[in-house]
Amino acid sequence: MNYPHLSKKAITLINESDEIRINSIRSPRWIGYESANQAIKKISELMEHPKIHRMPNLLIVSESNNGKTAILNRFKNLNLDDDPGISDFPKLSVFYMECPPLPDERRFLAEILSQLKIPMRKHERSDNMLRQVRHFFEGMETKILLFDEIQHIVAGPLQKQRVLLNTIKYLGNQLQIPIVVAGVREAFNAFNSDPQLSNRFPPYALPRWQMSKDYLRLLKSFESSFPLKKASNLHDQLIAGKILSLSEGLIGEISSLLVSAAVKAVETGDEMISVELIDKLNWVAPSQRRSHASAIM
Amino acid sequence: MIVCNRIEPLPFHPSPYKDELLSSFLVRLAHGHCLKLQSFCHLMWPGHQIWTRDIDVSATDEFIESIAFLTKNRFNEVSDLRLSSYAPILNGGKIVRGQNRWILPFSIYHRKRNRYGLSFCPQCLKEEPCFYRKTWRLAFSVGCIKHDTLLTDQCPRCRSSIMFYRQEMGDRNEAPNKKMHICSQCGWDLRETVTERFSRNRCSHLQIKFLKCLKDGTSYCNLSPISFFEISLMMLHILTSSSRLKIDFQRKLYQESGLDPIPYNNCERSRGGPSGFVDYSTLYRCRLLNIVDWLWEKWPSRFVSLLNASNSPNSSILGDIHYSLSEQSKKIVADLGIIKKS
Repeated sequence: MNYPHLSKKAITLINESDEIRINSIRSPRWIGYESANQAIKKISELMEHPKIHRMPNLLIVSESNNGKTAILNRFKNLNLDDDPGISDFPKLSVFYMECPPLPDERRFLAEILSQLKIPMRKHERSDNMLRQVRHFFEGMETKILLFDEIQHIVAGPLQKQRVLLNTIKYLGNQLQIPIVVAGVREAFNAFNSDPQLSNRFPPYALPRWQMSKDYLRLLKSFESSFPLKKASNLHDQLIAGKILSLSEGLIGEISSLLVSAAVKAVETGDEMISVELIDKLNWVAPSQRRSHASAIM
Repeated sequence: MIVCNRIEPLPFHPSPYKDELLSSFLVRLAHGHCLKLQSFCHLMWPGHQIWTRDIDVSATDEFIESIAFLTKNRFNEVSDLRLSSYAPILNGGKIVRGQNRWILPFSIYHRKRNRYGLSFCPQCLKEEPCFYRKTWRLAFSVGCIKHDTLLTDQCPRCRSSIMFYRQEMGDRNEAPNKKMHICSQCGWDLRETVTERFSRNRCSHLQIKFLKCLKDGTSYCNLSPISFFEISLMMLHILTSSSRLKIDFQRKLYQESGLDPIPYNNCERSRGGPSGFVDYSTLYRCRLLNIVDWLWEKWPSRFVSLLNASNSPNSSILGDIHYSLSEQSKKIVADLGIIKKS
């Protein structure tokens, strides 16, 4: 039987059991789209930039759940180091880390050391930790640093924020490698308030989705990746509008909503995503969730 | 039993260099993680004494296994860094705590080393990478073949023994970035040490023979490696003895060979140790080995004729050494006709 609405990979799973298909639907996927591909291209250009005294950096900013982490992870996975090289250090071209919840220099450095599995003393001084971090990034020939959830820096006193941002700046200067930070609007405000930082970290915004050809193409891509036996025609205006409204244009929400719907479609035997099926999910839009939860309680 | 605190290999995992000393490898491993040596060892093996003993000699198999695991090297590769790899030939098959034949002693007191247990070649230390060789712990290793220089066993400025693992002492906040070629006591750059040429000494050939014998099991003068080393040690014992009975032998030897006599009652003895040959400075060991090489040049005739020519009976010259020889060496000596077979 033909499944013209499915990708080749989805077709291979179409006759598998429901559990396997549901597992596949729930597995992480990457659906490329214009602004994500642009962001990845920008980061790649930064990585290939020759070493200069003041390396260019980038601040990726968007609403929560709008794909920042997915973009950074995608970039990291595209640049995995297969060749271990001849050095005694493992090669690590791309270092990715989520910033710790508080803007503390020691904690930040400890998190880097912990991610790299570098042994460190319990009460080590921050200058020694910084030296270790620098030593390892140089040894591992790291070309770019990616720091996610950078808005965590605003969760503390101003002075600690300054110290942490100076540490990040120092690392970039000493290592002469670009740094990409990603965060929500608070991060943008924090960086913008310091002229030095706003110069060094130009922002790249990821907008919310709106009804457009790109959006419909995105929905088609999602549809083709779900091993459902019937075509859902997600690019139809009605269902596309419904999804957009419920997700409020956030790619993370779109993905979660579609995954839930596809799983439901398999479980119920509908084998397609429809407006009625989506209604059965009782999906609450992100902005409504707080009031919805209060109403229930 | 030494237990490692870490369940996964280290991010910095170097391979040992050829002929590297275990202690040198550990220092390199610690500095590769930008950690001071004591801190690193405490993190990896908490509560275990590592630097208060001669780790190059006494490292256990468990310790070697843990290093091999941490550095993703094979057990044999790391085990080769120990001096115990020489045990089958040098020490009758075993390495013991305390004095081992042919291995320069350290006389460890807490973490300090009171005797001159490690030599070095200044030119080798100038090369990259800079590390200490295993052969520099051997008493017969008195010169660097590659650079044609005599080895030195102490800092020429402060006369302390080489303790490259103690560079970080003194300033707890200083970065662990001191190079191993810096004297830990006075800060002198050991690479600036001036030494003599080695090839002028006939013992350079003997050293090559010793090393080949140790590494490949090559035999000389139809002797097995064990006997070659044991009989050489026997000769050295005679040459360094202050016994009246042996002095006569020594006198005849210097007359016959034309080599410079080595007075037995010199300041060398005050370097502190009753172990004889291994306690002498590199220069004196070199001179003693020159004599041994002369004896081996025409083995066994030179040795036998000197014994017969001396006024002391052979049993009094060889007696106290003879019983410490292995059975095969005893047989060789007995076959020379100078000692009665037991």
